[in-house]
Amino acid sequence: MRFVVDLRACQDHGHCAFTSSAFPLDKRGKLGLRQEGLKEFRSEPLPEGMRDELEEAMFACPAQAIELVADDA
Amino acid sequence: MPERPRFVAVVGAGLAGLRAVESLLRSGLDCQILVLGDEPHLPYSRPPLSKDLLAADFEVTPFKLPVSDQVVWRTASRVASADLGSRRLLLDDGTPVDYDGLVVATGVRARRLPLPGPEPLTLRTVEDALALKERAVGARTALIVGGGVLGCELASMLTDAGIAVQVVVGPDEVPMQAVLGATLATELRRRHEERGTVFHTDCAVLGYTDSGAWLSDGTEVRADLVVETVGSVPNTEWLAGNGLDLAGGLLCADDLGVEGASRVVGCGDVIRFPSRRYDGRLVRVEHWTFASESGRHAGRTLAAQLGADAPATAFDPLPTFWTDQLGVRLQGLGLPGLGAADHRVLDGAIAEAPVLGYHHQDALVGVVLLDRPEAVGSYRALL
Repeated sequence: MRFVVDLRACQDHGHCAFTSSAFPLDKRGKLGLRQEGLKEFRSEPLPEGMRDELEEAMFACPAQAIELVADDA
Repeated sequence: MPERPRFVAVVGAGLAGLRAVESLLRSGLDCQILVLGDEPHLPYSRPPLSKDLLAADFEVTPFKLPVSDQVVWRTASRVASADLGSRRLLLDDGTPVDYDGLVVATGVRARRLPLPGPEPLTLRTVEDALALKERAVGARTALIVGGGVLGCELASMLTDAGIAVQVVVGPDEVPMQAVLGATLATELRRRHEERGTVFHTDCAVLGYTDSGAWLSDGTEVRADLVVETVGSVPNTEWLAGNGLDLAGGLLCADDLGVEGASRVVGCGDVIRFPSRRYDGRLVRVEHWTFASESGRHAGRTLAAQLGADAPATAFDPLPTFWTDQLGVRLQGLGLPGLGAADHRVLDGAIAEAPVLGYHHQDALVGVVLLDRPEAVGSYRALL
């Protein structure tokens, strides 16, 4: 399982960061997964034990910018 | 012989109803779910309606729906009444729907002022938003009746589009005062006024005309579009006659089970529930995050009541909200309105990017941050 963040849709509400440590914020309070020119962030494969917190983060995102996908997706 | 699948009816196809569906599916309960929504749309995101409506690239954002053959979505279906004793709904076309479990997620509708004259626009649904957008194109002046958060968001959006905006605040001296307290509300009023917005305070609207409205101070305001944003009314009428407490919203227990009914849960804007975080105070919360979180919790509670292997637990969220206006984001934590009479600046200058704390009986009950996203985490921890 991985998560994918659509960085164009993300509005930096930060709700994901308060449900899962997989979503760090930078010192300005913006999503810390951004990189210059990157439109989408794909995580490394993550343990199944993180599914609940990642789902909570996904559901907490007002911009619907987070998606959970299979490892090989 | 295996037990038959449970049949769950979800009344309300907004965010709270959607989250309840997702939660029921996640619970592993063997169930079939019918979602009944009175709008002719599948669930969509409402915040952009008041924040991005006039943007050139605005489009209605549907929610991603769970892929499941356990769920049927039926739009444009209004439930006329419910008999909770016999677990039967009656649709307004006369169709009966029997259920084993019921989720009440009917939300709220815009409150309207009973005033003479043509009915003004409002902003709640997609249809409201598209009508407002159509009228805003080419408009030079606008009158907003209601100085709450929605009215001020709308004022900001219309001003950005070059429209001269006047706002009738109502009984408060400054807009958003009931939610944010006088200090921050006064500062935000100043910023709105700097952008040209005119506020009418300490007066009411007497009636609407084809070209605006008459105010109680004798002023006639002429405007190309008039919008009412004067609060909301919970959609509970269809539940009448079942002995429920519907005053000011459907009363639920702290696990979101509906008081006085079995196998019925409530979620979203339509409910009141006793908040453990606030000494059992009954609260009704109209925020995006609350709709999402309460929907998830209500689904879990109902699943437990219907036999899923999960205990019903108390719902104890930290309310959070945000509003984008004046080019900045304001983020609220807790219940600032509860402590609006006892607030103080905790950090930053009020004219720049302040953080305010709100107190009730000497306890910190809310925090509002203006353009301070980096500080949200630390103040969440305090609450």
